[in-house]
Amino acid sequence: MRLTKYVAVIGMVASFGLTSQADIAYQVASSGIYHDDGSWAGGAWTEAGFLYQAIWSDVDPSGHDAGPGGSLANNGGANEFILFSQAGVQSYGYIQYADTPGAATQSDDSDVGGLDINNGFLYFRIFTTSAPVGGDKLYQSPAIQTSGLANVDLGNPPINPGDIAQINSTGGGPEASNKTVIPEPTTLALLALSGVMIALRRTRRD
Amino acid sequence: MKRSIGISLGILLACGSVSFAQTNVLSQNAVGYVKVSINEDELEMVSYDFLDIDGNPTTISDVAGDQLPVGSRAFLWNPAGQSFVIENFQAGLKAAADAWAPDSNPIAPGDGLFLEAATGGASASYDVFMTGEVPGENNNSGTSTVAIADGLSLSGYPYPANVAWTSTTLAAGATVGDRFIGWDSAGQSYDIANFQPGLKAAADAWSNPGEIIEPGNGFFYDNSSGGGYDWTELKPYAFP
Repeated sequence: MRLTKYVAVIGMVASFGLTSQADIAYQVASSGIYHDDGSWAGGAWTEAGFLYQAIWSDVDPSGHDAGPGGSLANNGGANEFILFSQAGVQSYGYIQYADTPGAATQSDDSDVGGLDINNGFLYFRIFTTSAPVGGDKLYQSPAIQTSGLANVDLGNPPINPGDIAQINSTGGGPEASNKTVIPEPTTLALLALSGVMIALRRTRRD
Repeated sequence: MKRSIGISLGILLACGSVSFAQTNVLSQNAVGYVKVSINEDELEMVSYDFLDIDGNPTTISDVAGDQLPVGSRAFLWNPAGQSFVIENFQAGLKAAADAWAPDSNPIAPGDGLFLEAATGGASASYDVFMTGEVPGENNNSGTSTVAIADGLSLSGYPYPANVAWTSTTLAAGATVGDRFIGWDSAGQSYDIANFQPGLKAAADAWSNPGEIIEPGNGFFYDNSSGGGYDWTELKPYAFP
């Protein structure tokens, strides 16, 4: 009898827990970016592809960096998850993601490790190449708080299409690249090691 | 379902495709239109009840053209993926005209869709005239068939005519658990009728039997039967 009561209580807790599921749905576009050493009006440059990402973080990601391949770097141990990552081609020689995709990205708590997706930050990265390596340029958007997005219920379709947010990651105009991909840790270690070796050699020579 | 959609259906003219071979009429077509009024930053759930006049597959540019401001969206439905497919009315790059993108998703009579008017345009409200060839031969025995998916289908009555929801063969063939999901324009939310089991000896019935589908209205149908099927509806008019 006591066991039955335990089971009933656990069942109630589980059902309350399920009701906390939160979901977001959004379309994202970009009005375009250019190299920070050039300008939108300065004419085209000649890279063929780009990489576009949407990333969720549980803390303000303003100081976070990107690693090779679009990996996460320098995020101070934040809970960060890449919601989508896709390569594209450029328009007019610039990265111009103005063709808003015909499908909305839909994500829920399970996409952010079970955290509350409606209580975090969403930001976007546009790399100037489809396979970024250390030193490549990228644009990282300001973060938006996901608490400002509609909490759609993907488990009870159809969702209201008005709740599919339209986000322009560059704010509606062209932007310069504002970050550089940092080399992967092994590359950094090799650079540091070579620096130490050079210093040692000079010390011995002296 | 709130009727904010101003409807005006007319058989405007017998088209130029009327051809004569001596005294024989080889084809006879009629065109019509449905007017839908959409406030900015709001949605209307519509259906396009016509055929493209040029005989090509109908796409969103045929349905809405440039009657909505840049930034407007149309939400079609992918029944296989049970998700929206979005068409975006985008500003033309460089010297190109504003255009729908990707403008490649076909829209057939009996298909429903949402139209959303963007903010920041020239007006607070937009009239969208959906025009096309009225479907059907010149008789009163033609039928149209609409595919109903397992799960949700975004549909419409496949003729530009008023019909009581419960008079459709789709409603009459419902399975307990099916849902008719209309759109409340004023509330910008869904308006749902359920096909429910009858109490005691009563027959199974729709929870809101008074729903009327007007020309241009779209609706979701939630099919709980466990499989897809074809919804075949008799043409409710003799002409065209």
